[in-house]
Amino acid sequence: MSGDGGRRRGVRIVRWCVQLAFLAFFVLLTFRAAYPPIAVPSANLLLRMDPLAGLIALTGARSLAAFAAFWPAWVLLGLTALSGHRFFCGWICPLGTCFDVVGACKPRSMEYYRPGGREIRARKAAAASGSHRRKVRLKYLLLGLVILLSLAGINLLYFASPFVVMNRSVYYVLLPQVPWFLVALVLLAVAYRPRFWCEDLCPAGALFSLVSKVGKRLSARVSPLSVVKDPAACVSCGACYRACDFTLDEPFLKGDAGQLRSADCVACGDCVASCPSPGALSLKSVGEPLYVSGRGKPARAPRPGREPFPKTSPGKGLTVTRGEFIGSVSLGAVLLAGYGVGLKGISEPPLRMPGAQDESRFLAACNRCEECVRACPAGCLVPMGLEGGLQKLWTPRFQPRTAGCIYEQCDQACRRVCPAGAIEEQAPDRVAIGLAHVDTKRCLGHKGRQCLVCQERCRFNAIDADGLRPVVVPAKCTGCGACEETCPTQPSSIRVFADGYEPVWPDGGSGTRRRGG
Amino acid sequence: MPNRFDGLVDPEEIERVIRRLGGDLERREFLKKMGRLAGGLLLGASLGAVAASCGGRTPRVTRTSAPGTSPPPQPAAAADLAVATTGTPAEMTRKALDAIGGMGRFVEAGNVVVVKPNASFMDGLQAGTSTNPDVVAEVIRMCREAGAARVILVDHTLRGAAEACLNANGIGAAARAAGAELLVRGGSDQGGGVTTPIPDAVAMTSADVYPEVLAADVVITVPKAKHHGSAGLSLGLKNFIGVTSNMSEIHNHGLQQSIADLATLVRPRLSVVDATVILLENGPGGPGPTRVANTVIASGDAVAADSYACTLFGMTAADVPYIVHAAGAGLGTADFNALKVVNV
Repeated sequence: MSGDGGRRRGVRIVRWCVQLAFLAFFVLLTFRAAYPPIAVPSANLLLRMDPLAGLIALTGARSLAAFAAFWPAWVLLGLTALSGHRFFCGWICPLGTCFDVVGACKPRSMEYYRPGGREIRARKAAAASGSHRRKVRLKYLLLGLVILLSLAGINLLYFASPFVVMNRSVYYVLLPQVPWFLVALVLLAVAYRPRFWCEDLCPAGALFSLVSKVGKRLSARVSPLSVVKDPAACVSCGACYRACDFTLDEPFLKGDAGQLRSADCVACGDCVASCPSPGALSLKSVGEPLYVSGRGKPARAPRPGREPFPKTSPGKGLTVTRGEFIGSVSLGAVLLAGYGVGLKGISEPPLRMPGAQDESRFLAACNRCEECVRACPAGCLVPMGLEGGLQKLWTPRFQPRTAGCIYEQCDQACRRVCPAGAIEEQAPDRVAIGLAHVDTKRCLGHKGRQCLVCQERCRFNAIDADGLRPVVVPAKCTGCGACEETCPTQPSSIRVFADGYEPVWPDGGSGTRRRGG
Repeated sequence: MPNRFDGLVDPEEIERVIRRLGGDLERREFLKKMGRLAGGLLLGASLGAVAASCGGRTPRVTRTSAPGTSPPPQPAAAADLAVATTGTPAEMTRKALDAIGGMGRFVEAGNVVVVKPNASFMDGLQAGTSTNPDVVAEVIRMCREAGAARVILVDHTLRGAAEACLNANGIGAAARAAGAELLVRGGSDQGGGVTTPIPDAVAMTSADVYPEVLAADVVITVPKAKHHGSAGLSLGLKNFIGVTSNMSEIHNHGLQQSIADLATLVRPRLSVVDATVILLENGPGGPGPTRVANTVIASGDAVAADSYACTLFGMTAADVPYIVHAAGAGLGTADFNALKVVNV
């Protein structure tokens, strides 16, 4: 850091502190979602700050209660509208903080955007024709796509929401496993721009942008937060442009406009901090300057005959042309066609936790944030892989061989931490996860040997002993899986299957895996 | 390093910097930084893993003497087997133990004692599925009175998490109040057992036994006498299935012989059988018909104690093969009539 001005470093340090504090809080909450959670209703507090997930709760899960449970998100959106800035993205978002860490570590030389040949050609053509076709940033299209698909019962938040991505990533790091999706996003930030995801792809960010835009229109005069430029003091050096992790709007830089109008402004204050000209830029709150420029490095005058800015907008943004749009729609159609197809073909229907037995409704509602997997005191939930197709990727599957479900002892910890309302409350006597079936060819008791461990373990007396043979009483069986967990044979001779599913027993030894010990 | 906000944006400068992008200096710096970042991430991940693995499941046991290696107890002019049938469960426990020479005959000052009740079920007293907490507490109290350095309550519960079972059947609070440390594992096999060979085994040659049991000076079994669907009756020897983490595995080796095999490893020095309320059918978990037998049996010979307990069910040791197998392995005698039995 060069020694120009404590203020400049000051605002940076304050923002780092706030961002890292929120990141630490986020990690702590995910960490403490494990049973017994510090306070179950608030373990998912940050997850309920996600306005996109809140919208999906309405369009996907179609639950007003779940929608209302996202009140922190609605408060946040209200503040966004009021301030006219995506301040959440610049100060709170844990994923954004990760990108900022990448940005801080990237060497200076990598910060410059290098337009590809195709984009340069397109820009030259646009300049030649003089057309300024209005282009829409991809994130708005993605936002529309996510909401539309949620209406069809397809929940894409696991890719689309920074909260969900972060929560799942923290869970995987705690496991510890590699959070591949986060790694991919970070690599994108390394290769392209730190805030590329935030400005061009993030659907939740698009929602914040839309709301802040509305807010700017509504409260142009009374906005509690605005970046204002004094054209008389501006020396057009472009320091603010370089400082901005997003795309500062060009008219603002070039001269006349008074107030920064970009819907993507995250109110980080970097532009004001970087401005060398006293009073040229100021961060104002209801007309009162909070923070005024002039501590940046003194400006050099632009060389004669040279524009301080590139001729055309550097166009950092990812916008969509007609061809690209058609291409992406076709790709989407192909993906959608393969959405339900599992890698291993059509496998048996996965078991879910109590209160999540309507599979299509569950798939529409579940965010795949893995909060329930983290919270389960028994450790009986595992995130699914691709065995159920993309549509079930990362959804929690109940795996009784690992551990049986003890919902009546934990009071449905999974339901209580679920931010999406995907799990319904169940009276303990009405739980029906599935039904246990006995493999009579393999079962020790059916071979005349003394065992009956399943009968010993069953808390619901749903297994009768017919001599030495266990017999399941369907009316009493809750599908808790204590029997499957404990069966001494390998693989288990008693297994829980979703209701109505007729089991096919393996002849060979290729059954479910069992924990060692 | 120079500040990233410094200076003017000069198109030429931009060009220059872009040209320098592939430069060694920048790349090295970049790689270094990314390396540092990755190192930090790895460190954080491994710290997280360590924190996650320190869940407190590993019991800390420092004693290393094998069970049964302490000098044999001094024979006192006392009975070999005592049956108490009057008084409260705690009173019966004390009377029965006093009749066989008191706890001092089995526990010496400074000993580490493992008490193994049957705490497997989330039922109250009347269900007859778990050991009466007063009996457990009285045994622990008498161990403390005899000068035991530590009394550790060990079990592996069947139906449900450890705390849930201990709360429901009352053994948790009673044992803590009496001065025991609790090392009770819940339902699923969460590891913690040490794979231990059983030298005298006939059927099951090894078991994953909790280390504190192996390290204890004295092991006391405090079972609930009750019906058992596969073993016939659940008594003091069968009780030791709950000192293993891989409880289910025993059924793969032939249950009856394996119970006797496991007992040759654990070698209980004392058995206090709770037969206050006994479950007659649908054991071990019930619910089933019970009988108030109001009996506590105490003996230094766990085989004899089990054998005597059979009579409460109108059975004999011959009906419960593991007692016969254990007697055959030299753990004690199934013929309690050959012993000095007193009723108190």
